[in-house]
Amino acid sequence: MDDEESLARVLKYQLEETGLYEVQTERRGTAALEAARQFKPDLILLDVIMPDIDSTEVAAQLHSDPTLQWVPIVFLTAITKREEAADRGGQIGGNPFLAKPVEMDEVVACIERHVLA
Amino acid sequence: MFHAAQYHFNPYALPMLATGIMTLALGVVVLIRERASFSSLMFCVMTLTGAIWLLGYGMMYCAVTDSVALAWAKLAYAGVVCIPAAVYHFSVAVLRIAHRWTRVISAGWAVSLGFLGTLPTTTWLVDGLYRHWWGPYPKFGWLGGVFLGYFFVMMVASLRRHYWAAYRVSREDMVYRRRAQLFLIAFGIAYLGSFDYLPQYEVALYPFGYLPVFAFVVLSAMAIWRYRLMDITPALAARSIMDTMTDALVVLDAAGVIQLANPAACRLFRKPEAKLISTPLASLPYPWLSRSQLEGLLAQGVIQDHEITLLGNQDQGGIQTLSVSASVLWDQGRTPLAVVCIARDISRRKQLEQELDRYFNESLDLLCIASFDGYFKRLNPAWERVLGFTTQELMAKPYLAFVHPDDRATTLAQARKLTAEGLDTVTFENRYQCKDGSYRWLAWTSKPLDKPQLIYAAARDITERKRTEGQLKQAYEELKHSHRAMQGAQSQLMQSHQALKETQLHLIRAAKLESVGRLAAGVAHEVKNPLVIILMGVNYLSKRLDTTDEHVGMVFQDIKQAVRRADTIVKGLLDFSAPKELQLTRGDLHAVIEQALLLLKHEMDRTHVSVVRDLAAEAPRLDMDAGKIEQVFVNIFLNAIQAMPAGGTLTVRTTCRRVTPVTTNGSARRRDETILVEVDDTGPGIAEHAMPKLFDPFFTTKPTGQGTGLGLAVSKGIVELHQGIIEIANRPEGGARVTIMLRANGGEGDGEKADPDRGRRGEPRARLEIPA
Repeated sequence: MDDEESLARVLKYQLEETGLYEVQTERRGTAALEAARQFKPDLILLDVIMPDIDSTEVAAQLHSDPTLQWVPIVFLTAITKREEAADRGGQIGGNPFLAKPVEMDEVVACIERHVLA
Repeated sequence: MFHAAQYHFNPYALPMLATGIMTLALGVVVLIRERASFSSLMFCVMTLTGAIWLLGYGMMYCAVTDSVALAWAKLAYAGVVCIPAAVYHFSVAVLRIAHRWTRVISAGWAVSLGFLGTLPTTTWLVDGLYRHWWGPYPKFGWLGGVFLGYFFVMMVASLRRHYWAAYRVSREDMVYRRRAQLFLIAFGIAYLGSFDYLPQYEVALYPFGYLPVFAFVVLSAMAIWRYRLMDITPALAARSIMDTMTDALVVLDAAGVIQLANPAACRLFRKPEAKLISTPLASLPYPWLSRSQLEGLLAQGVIQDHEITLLGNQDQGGIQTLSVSASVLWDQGRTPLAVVCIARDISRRKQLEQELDRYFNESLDLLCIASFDGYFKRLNPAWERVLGFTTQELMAKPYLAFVHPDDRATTLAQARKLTAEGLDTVTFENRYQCKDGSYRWLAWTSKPLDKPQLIYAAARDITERKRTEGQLKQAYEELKHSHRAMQGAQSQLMQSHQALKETQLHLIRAAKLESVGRLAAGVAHEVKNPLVIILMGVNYLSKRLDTTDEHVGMVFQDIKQAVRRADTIVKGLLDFSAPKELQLTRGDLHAVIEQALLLLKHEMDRTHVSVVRDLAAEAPRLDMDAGKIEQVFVNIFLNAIQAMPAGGTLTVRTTCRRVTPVTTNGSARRRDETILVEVDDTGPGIAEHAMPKLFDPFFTTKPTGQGTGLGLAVSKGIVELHQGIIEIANRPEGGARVTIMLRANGGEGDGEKADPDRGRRGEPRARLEIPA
């Protein structure tokens, strides 16, 4: 889930190319919540800065949904400061994050780590 | 007789006629000159008789017929017979003894008139004419001898009167005597004219009697001109004095009745003289002397300067003061004859005296008259009022005794200026003792008077003024003092103003940096997403384009490299604008330095930079944010390495010492243990123009792509957050030196060593330097 459509797209292409993942992208928080309830993903990549609602709000709603309660969330953030990361990510209970700019390998590694766990 | 034909010219007649006219003229002139006084009148009568004789004879000489000549002869004898009586009368008159010889005078005139009575009708005295060679001449009858006897008796009597007056009577009046002497001579000569009687007894000798008479005229004219006929006597002066004197004068008889009053008295009583005369003085509205006073005067004989005041009598303010003097005249038997009273109007003088007295007595100033020998002679009541001493007390001692001991020398010097040096005026100030022992300041103006030797002085009590002056002076001093204090305060204000200005400049700079930081943070965030897209894109493309073309791989690598560079700048910006909070933990500075060196080991190996460690024996421990401090050292080491691309030596030196760091505003900070870290390189050093900007963000001397220009700016921020100081200088032996001073135990052992907030509460200046 990222408001940068091009980023979401390149991530989708690369992940689907591995043949291991089915990827659905959304650009808006509200739409993402709706899509998540239908799609039932194994992992959600969530951009911290969202155009409509705050990512923490999205995360909170995802976690409050019983069907999505156990789906791991990985934040994608342009903010690299530990403090901010702690403020934002920490609020929803130790969700991991990936700092932009990030290489594909790192993303894949992170997904594998959480999905397989 | 009155017919011209009856006369012929006879030269012998001329001297007679001339002398006769001169004689007559003299008599008239004297009469006029002496204002018809008794003596001058008698003189005129005398000259008239002489003139009749001379003129008659003159005309007789000229007569042609005997009858006319006889008529003139009888007429001439009318004058001749009167001559003895007239001469005698004049003599006693001019000698002022006529009153003693009235019987003789009367007898003389009676005899003369008797002779005169015989002339018209008888020939007893003139009995016809002789015809002498010079002309006709009367012939004496039988009475001629008797007349001659009478003539010479009277002649002797007259001369005798003058002789006595001139030589025998003891009188002091020189004028009187000299005049008598002159008349004695004049008459002596005149009587030589009696020679003229001889031809009357048929002796044919020319009668030159006119010559002595002429001499008499000249002499008596001289005498009268010189000594006058009338004496200037006290009696003569008295009237004039009485008339002209300004004092009023009345003469009373023994009963107090006014007998004499002068014009001034008339003015004073406002009555004409006629009304004053025979009025008793006591009956006048404002009598000078009461009846009892008059009686006292008659017994005593004299009253002097008896002052009387007349109320409402005069225009001059209604009060008139008279000074009356009176004396009594007695006759030989000590019976009072008259009282002479003189009243002088002294109102003006009295008024002036009173004014002067009032001025003197009521003056607020202290007035005095002092003698040259140093004593007060007169003092006004102001002295008693001001000093409390009585006038008697003040005059009993030399005035110097009352002068303040400190002022005596100057007072004496000032007095000497007046008495010895002849100065006209001196002014000075001194202190006089009061009865209660206190002193009053007096300001003096003194003038000397040579005869008699006195000093006139006026003093003013200026004690209050002095006191006010003192207070003013004190106030002035206080004002001066507070002015100085204000000046001090002003300079302090100016100092604080300067400090404020500096602070303001820092604030502006800080605000600038802060906005730069905010901008940077915003930009950094926005830049990150495009970077991710590029990176992801490159990843995707490098996998999809399964190519063996090594150029494509190289381009992909370059793109990745560029993304990383951009990311580094963004990270630097974020560091620079990061919130100012420190994660303080106590740690070993040497360990942090080693960590930084380790991070750069690869870089140093590549550029052949060797490291020299000159570290303190005891590892310095301090509260610090180890990550941030590491960042600082990495930045500094990296700068040093990049300054030595061809290799060199990086020296790291640490020392612990107690110093007293000095803050920028000059005040000493508390003593503290300081850790000094010096990082030296052997590079080219730093250009002089770059020095002031070294710590500015985005300033870099490195080639493009090598530096962000944020390293030192961020490092300075971090060091200052730790309340440290970072400086960069060129070493004299070449290369640059970075010096970092950090406080080892920033809490003085008061337990705040681990306080995480300490960074926030650091020195204001340190906070202000840091962009928030």
